[in-house]
Amino acid sequence: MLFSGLSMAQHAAEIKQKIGFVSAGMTYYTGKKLKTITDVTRSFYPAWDDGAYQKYMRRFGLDESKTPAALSNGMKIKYALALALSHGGSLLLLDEPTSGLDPVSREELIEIFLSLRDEGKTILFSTHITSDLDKCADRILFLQKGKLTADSALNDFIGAYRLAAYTGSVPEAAAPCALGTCRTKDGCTALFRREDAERMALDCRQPDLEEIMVHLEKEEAK
Amino acid sequence: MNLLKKEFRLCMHPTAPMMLALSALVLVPAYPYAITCFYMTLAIFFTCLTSRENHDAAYTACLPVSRRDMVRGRMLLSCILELVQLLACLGFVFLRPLTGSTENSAGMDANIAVIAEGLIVFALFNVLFFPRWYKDITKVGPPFILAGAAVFLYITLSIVSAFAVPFVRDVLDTPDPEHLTEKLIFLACAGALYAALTLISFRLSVRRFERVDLQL
Repeated sequence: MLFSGLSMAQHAAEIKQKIGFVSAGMTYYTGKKLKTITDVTRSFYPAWDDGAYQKYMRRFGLDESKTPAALSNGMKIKYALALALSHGGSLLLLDEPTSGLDPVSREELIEIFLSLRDEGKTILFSTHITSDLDKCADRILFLQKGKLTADSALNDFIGAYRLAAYTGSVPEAAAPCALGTCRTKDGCTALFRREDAERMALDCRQPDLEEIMVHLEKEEAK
Repeated sequence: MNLLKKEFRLCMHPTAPMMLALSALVLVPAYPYAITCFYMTLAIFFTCLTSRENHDAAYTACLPVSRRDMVRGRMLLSCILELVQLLACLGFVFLRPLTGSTENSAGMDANIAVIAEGLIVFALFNVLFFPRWYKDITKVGPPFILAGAAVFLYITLSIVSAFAVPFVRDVLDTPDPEHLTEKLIFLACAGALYAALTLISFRLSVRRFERVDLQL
């Protein structure tokens, strides 16, 4: 694995100085005060920005005298974000940051991501909640069984597919070009590449991100 | 140093300082003194156990440190605790004559050789516990049972030899400063064994931990 041309195996410490990582289950040291965890964490980063840390703690409404056990899931992620944003990393890696959160907390986090994007921060996050991506992602990297199968701007990614709905099964002429099918109440839907759909003059519409993902994943699973 | 700070502030189990206080058992007239060192291995075990429960590996893996550094931090904490325990025991060995006698009817007398026995206990613990634990950090119990069994076997042999082995009975199990040269040689050998087995333990632990797939 390479990061900025450096091997992760040989330059792990150097690379991790440039990355802020946040996972959904920030479950470490639940009985220690945030102040203690921060004090230990800061000592590992020469570029630690205490001003930025205080700013994010205020902005996220976090109290340093509390322990992670006393925080909600959303607040835990915000604390992990405050740490990740304060050590001068150039990339934020978030692993399913919105999973397990209630809709209001999710919306709040997405607003935070958008404002961080406006500040020029790069955020790479994994999620199965595609509606979150619709709201805040600029670029989509699509992984299937550990392989990168798509890497493009969100609009280009969505624009590359078309979805056709059928009563009954997919017509024989169109079936070979279908990238994936899903059963519906009245029949089925099939996903096509836009070029194929236009060439065959199919009666179709632009799918959303979730529809693309579901159709491609179902086909992969067959 | 940063990792050591993390180990002391976030990981060290609160029983570690309590176990240090148990070094005072050297003042008890009839007690197998090497067992005071076993108590510290128990504190190290608790530290590793709570580290697992607190997802310490997931936190530390995200810090800008290598796997080798992670192992070094934990083993350095353990070695510091072990050596401080021995220093505390040494202090009580020096204080023991104030109680009127250094004799011990349950094994080695309160003398310099007790510190050497402590070094052997810690050497056995380090070489048996850490490499097995770093093979799978989710399983703390089995490596501790193995290391604890070896430590207790050694302590039993040590107690028996204080009565049955002539060299131990007549030379090592005597009040200081009698046979001080022999006792200091025994201490130096035990120190060398501790250093060698701890180094082997570190290298094996690093090699095994670098192969572990950490679930963050």
